[in-house]
Amino acid sequence: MDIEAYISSGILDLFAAGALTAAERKEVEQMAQQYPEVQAELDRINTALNQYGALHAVTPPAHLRAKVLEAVSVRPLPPIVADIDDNLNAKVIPFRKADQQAASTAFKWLVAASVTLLLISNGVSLYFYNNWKKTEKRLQLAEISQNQYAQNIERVQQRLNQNQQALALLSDPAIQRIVLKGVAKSPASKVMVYWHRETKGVYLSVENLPAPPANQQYQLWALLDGKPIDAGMLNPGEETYAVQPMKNIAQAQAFAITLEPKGGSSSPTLDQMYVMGTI
Amino acid sequence: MEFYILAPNKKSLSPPRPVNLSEEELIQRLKRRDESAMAILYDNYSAALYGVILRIVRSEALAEDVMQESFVKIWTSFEQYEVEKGRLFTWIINIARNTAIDKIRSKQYRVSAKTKAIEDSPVSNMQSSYDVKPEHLGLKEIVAKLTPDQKQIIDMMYFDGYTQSEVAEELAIPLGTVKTRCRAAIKMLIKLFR
Repeated sequence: MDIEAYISSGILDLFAAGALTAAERKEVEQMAQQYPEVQAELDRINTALNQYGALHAVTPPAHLRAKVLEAVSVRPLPPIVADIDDNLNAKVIPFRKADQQAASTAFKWLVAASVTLLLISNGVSLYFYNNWKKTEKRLQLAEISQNQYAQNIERVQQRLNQNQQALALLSDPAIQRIVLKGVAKSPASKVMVYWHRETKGVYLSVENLPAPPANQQYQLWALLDGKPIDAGMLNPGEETYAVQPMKNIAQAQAFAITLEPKGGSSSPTLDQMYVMGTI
Repeated sequence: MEFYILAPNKKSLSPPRPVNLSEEELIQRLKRRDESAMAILYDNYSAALYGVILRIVRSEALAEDVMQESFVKIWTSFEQYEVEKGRLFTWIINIARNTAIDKIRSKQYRVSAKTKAIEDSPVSNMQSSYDVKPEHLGLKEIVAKLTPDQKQIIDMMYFDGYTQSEVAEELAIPLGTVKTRCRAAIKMLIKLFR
């Protein structure tokens, strides 16, 4: 904004002479407020104009003074609004008091509201904390049972695999099935031996055998021309009907199982024979 | 410094004496609603205000009414006066001028003016020149320094309340010329009163 150009445009002169419309006057007032140079020039113009006006001064008739002052004194006084320059003014005090009272009442309400909000907030926090604890406990239980299920599924899967292997084995036409029956020591016992004629692989599935003592283990023997050949140890943990692979046997006429010390023996303990079957 | 204490009886008809009081102090007292300050204001400014009002309304009876209205307005709306926005004299003389101009523009005045068969516009009235018998000896010299064009335009605005477009229409000159002529006249006044 070019202030010099604004001043020399003559708008301030029109303003001081009263020749502007209300809207134009407002604009000039804003400019004067914003730019001290404009206000200063406006003051100069006003002073000059009013000095010109004062040149026309005429002493009014003497009786007019009393008339004018009478008219002024009968005027009901409008209330004085906030006189900043005069703090001693008693009329101002009630306004401040009322303000302070209103402020203190508002403050009390504010404190009450704050305390109420704090209490509600604490209650809600406690509620959610308890819920959280409960949920955590339930999550732990759920995790434990999930692990159990996973283990179960693994076991079932294993069993399924074994069964599939067994099925594949049993349906193989090259497999020879030999039933080992219980002898005098344990007539109810029964074990199945599967012998693959081409691969010479031997598999075994227990149908019924008494549980061995802790320090003993069953051992499978192949009999060829009256001589026993070690065909491997029976896995003690294995379930009934599970098919377990044994040592390969090239030739045999019969199979037998004896109870031996843990780890097996080099030759069978014949009085401890439980089952036997010939091919 | 000299002080003249006003007599407690404000309605006494003793001749008014000018009271020597700083403008700031007078404003302070008026803000405090000190009624005696109004008497001081009257004694200090009544001649200037009355002269301007009389020049505008051109009737002593009407000028007295306007004087009374103006002082009541000054008294009742004094809290609207702001020191930052200009001198006290500017503020009160504007109140007096506006009150006077409102008066001559009101219907009442026009009707009474017509019944007096004064059909002339304020401009032609001005040429006939109401005899206000100015007490200030400087007026003639000052007026002599202004061109007739400049004096005419200032008087139309200041005393007759013409807006710039009304002046342009009345004198049949462009708005820009009104502005520049007004500016030149006031520049001259500033120079003369320095």
